[in-house]
Amino acid sequence: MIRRAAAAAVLVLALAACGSEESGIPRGPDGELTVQGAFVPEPPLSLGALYLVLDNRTGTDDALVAATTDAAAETAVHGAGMADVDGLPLPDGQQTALEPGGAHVMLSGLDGVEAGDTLVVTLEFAVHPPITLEVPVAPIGSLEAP
Amino acid sequence: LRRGLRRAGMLLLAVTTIAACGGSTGSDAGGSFQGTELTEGAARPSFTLTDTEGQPYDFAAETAGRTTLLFFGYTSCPDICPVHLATIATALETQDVVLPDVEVVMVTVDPERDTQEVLRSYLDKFDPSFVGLTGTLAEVEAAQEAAGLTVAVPEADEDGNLTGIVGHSAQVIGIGADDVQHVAWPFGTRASVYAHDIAELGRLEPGAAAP
Repeated sequence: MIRRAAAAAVLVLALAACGSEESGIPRGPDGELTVQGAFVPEPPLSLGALYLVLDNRTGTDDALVAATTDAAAETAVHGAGMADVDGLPLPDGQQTALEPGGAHVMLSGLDGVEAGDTLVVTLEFAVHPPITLEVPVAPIGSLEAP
Repeated sequence: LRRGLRRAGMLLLAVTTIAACGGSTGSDAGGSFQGTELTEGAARPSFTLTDTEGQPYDFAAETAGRTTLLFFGYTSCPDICPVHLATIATALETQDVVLPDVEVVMVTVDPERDTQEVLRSYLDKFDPSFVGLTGTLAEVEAAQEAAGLTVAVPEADEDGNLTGIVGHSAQVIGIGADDVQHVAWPFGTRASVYAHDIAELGRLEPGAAAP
């Protein structure tokens, strides 16, 4: 059991290694849906992306269906590439990463948003009640939260 | 047993993931690149587009004999393009290794939306010295073919908003002063890898390969 956890830790580490120097993101508590490591790199023009890691330990499969913020004119949940998805699946017991090069929430009309700013974002789920969080704006082209 | 298999699967996936990140798989002996080494010896591609001043830019002629980074991207690309450009800008500021003068050229694959003005304001956010090239759709397609890449196809809705790009090549190509394509850097390449490889490119002599 411990060895399996270690293998899982290696996996998380390996996944994180693509985008982050840091080791794996710790698991959230049982019974909860948690959000970690959220950030928005400063957009070069007006289009940006929100990245975060969702950990679904609720016992129920869920999906991220929307993310809204007053800072953006429009938002859309995208799978890898730019494909619009109806909802990003958040299987029970799994961490789901929205990370550079993969799934993300696209934010358009992000005018004047700069590194150091904070955006208030509300995540909406198929099952779980909405979660509102403060998201730091990282330097342009960042692969990880500041 | 099932548990064991699953564990093996996880480890395998982890190893695959590490490999998929690319980077320093090659040996660190002199002359080797940490990005993906291009061994076919393809020449510096030849195409003419329009720069952000509205002037014709003959890529092969303008960059001949110079270390060059060539990237095909688009300004409404939410993540891959800014990560590459910001990482390159960081790499070029590195003091750890001796870097040659480098020409960084981004060619848009979405010329309909990426006008000269849009490209200029986009690239200025990373480094005002980065060259931005645009043209007609046929011209930028020809440039991608000249560089040996699959041609990216922009897709837009009825209002002309970009809805996606199919087949966009996410790598940056490194060309030496010898006018040969030596290395490709995949998405996720770190600034230290860029700096190492740009320094390697800088050791190549101009004209080593006859045109």
